[in-house]
Amino acid sequence: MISSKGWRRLAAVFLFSLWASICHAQPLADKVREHVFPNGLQLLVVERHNAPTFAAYLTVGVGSVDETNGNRGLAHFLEHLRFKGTQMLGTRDYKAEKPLLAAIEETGDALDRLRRRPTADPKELAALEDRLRDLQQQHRALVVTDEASNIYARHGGVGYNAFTSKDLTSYIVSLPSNKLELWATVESDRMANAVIREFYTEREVVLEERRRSYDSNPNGLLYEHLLATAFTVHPYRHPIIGWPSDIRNLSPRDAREFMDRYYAPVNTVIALVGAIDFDEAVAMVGRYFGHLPAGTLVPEVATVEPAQRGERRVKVTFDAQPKLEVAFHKPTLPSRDDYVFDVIDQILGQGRTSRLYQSLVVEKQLATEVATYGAPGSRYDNLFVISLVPRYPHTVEEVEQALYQELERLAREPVSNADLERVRNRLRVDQLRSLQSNSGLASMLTYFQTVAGDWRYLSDYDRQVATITAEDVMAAASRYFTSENRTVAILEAKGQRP
Amino acid sequence: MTKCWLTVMVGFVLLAGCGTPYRIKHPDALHFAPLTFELPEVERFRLANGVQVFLHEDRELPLVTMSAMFDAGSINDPPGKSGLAQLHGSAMRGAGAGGRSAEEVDATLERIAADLSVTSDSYATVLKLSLQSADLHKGVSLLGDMMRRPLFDPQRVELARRRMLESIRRETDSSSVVARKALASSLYRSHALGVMPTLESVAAIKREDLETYHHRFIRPDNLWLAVSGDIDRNTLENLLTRLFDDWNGVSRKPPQLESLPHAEPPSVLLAHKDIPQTTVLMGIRGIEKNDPDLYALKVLDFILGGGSFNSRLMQEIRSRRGLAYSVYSYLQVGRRLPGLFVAGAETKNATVTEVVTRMRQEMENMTREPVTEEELTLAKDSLINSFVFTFDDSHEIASQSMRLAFYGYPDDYLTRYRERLAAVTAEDVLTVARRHLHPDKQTVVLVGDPEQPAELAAQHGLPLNKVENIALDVGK
Repeated sequence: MISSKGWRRLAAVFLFSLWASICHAQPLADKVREHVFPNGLQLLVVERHNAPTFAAYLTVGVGSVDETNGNRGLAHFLEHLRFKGTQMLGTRDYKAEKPLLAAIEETGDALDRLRRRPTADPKELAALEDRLRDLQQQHRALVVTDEASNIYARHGGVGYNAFTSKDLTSYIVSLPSNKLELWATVESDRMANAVIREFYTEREVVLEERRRSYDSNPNGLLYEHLLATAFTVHPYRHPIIGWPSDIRNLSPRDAREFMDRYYAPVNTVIALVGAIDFDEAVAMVGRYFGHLPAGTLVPEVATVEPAQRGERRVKVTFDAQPKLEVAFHKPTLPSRDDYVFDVIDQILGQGRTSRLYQSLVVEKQLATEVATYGAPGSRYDNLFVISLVPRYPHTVEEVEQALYQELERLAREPVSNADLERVRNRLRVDQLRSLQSNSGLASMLTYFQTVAGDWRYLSDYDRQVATITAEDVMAAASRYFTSENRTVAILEAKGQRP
Repeated sequence: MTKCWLTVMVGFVLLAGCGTPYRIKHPDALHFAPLTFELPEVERFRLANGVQVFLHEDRELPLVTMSAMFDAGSINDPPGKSGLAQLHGSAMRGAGAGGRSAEEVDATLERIAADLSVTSDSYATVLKLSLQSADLHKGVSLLGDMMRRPLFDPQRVELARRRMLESIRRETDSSSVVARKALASSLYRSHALGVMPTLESVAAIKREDLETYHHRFIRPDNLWLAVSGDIDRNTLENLLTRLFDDWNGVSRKPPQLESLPHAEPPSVLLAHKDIPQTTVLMGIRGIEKNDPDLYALKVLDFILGGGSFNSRLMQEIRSRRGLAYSVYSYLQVGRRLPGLFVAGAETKNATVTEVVTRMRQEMENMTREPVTEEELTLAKDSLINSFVFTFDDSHEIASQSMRLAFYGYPDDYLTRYRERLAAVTAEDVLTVARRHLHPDKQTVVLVGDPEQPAELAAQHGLPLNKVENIALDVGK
């Protein structure tokens, strides 16, 4: 929600790099306490009394993957709209607002219908636009702008934000430890009584966000093209924010229906980490959320991406320096191959001792940056992605060939035991580091509880990684790193001659 | 945890029998137990050779983090060799140390899953090490080698230089980088704070320059060290004594700070990019940390654009009009020389004039009318009540103490921070707005393809100047 951080665009990458920095059983398993309420709401608590603060993550297992043709972009748009208040917050008089909101919706709908018609009468359009503007002007007098944000801020809250990924939506804030009831009030009110208001103004904000993260941003555009090419039918192919025409045609009715169905206890995981007491947290969450209706469980996505039948290549021409992204389809967690890819990720792309860094950056000096990550989600089968920045005057083609040499080597030669040991140690220590921050831990707990169905995925992680052998790595490399399974996206400088 | 530095009093009124439908009260009707906490303890001591140490012990996890901060920043980059501090940092980290080649350094660190980075900014170079407490000796001896015996292996220096050149070549890919550079260069001009590394200046740096720089600045009497985590004072002192005992730097007078030249006269600076959205930055010289207006300016910044959704810029430009996703102001408090007061937004090319005009209007309002009591209370409550988050990260506790000492903040800076904020009045905010904001004298930077930039500049009474993109084909 907070713009200057570019959260949402990064969310997918961010979450998936977490999955590679996971946890060791002992420190975590001992600390996490859980409670499931009768309406399906899940609560995870870690008590840490180092500082008088706590971090709260409320994660709803609904993301852009749960959208279909008529409502793409809605999960992300709803994340914005759910900052606009409730029947209690954000309004001077909800009763007086209601007829205005209805009139705004009717006018906005008529305007959207007319805009879709190529032969629309410009005069009719202008008249509707004027009417919408008038209604919005009247409505503004009844709005208390960003009231929840105001309340959290006055009470010392920091990091009040939200982000949407392919798989889920999280609402986050950190507060001084005496403000647990404040959090329960604001968040349960949001779950029960959210009002869709300032819809058409916020739709413009989302369009600006799209321009910022994709249409004016070469890295965003390249990533968007990569996914839209690698996936042909699975909804992972669509950008979280939606395509421009998707966003322009979303309606308040779509938003309300989607929200009423899914943003409810049965799809929600809460993590509270910090200086709070577990029993008090259970009582408080029960008191504020326990009576809410369960809601509808988000259905599984039925669409399955067919096996890729040959290399796909896509170019993005833009006013920017060249870049390369290469993706291979792979199974998601908790399959064994997904753990193997976490090991491959470390060996190939993490840190200065990794093979791609050593070979492409240090020895051949063809590239200046290498990165590897899993994307774009984890609820469904996904991709292993390699991202490379060529060094002038070397070309994308040279970098691509050098990459394939390393991938072939991984399929041909077993990695050493020392390498495997190094990777296991790295994953274990990075997990320890991730426990240092309240919000980092809260994020991981709700994330894995949502996408893996159980946060214990984390505490079991080291045991699983320890079983991965050099043969597993070779087998996965030769099975998945094939040209048939490959998608290549190239950022090409504008004005370049063929 | 061996030391409980917090006395936390938290009380919840819990009603028995949850599960019955509960009618939510407005948050303003809730009552909260008071939150009392004491500032966390940081041990301070000095080694015989002058190294100043700041320790915050935290035994929760078997990890230790260290930050070694040297008074050595890009402000000392000589003319024509801008980028020296940055290249020195990369080379210190990546070009071998002590008896180890660069490969051996990295392999040693990776075997113990340690993270070690070197960063530099205008005033300081910081080496940061994170490792398991069991690996302390291995990691710290390597850190010592990096400071005392860097190899500056010529091939690795070249590698670091080439990576830096490539990142300079790519700066124009990012509108925000182009905008920030243009603004700094206009407001600081030829001063080191305004001169950024270029392909030529980085190419001109010789390996000998790195060595000279290293000997000049990387000395024990120029080193501040912050340590946190699973370690006690005795262990740390023994470790550091062994590491630094025979390291004696010659105490030299710190280099004189060159005072700032006058900023360029205000103008609209346009860097053209063929994209659908324009990045807008507005800015003016601000203050340094000892300025008595500091606290009133913090409150002003919160209300204008620093307070996110609670700020005027966000509410007027984003929430109520949908003209931008990102819109903000930022008070950069200069550590030694005045920093910048900056406001920014991104908007589609067709609405650039409207956004610039509204941003200026909001600034002008700050200089005309006192802020409302509600705004003042919100800003002060937020800044004061979130102060506790300054201390929710163990390493930040130690390194903040170190930074405050390094830059010579007053000793009571933290203890009196909240009362100084609490004392700010609406009249104070108006006074400092008039003294510092000068909306009509702010430089405006536009990166993108804004509609009618000449009209925009004329409307605001400013000349329009084009910013030339760096020539990309220079990288031979």
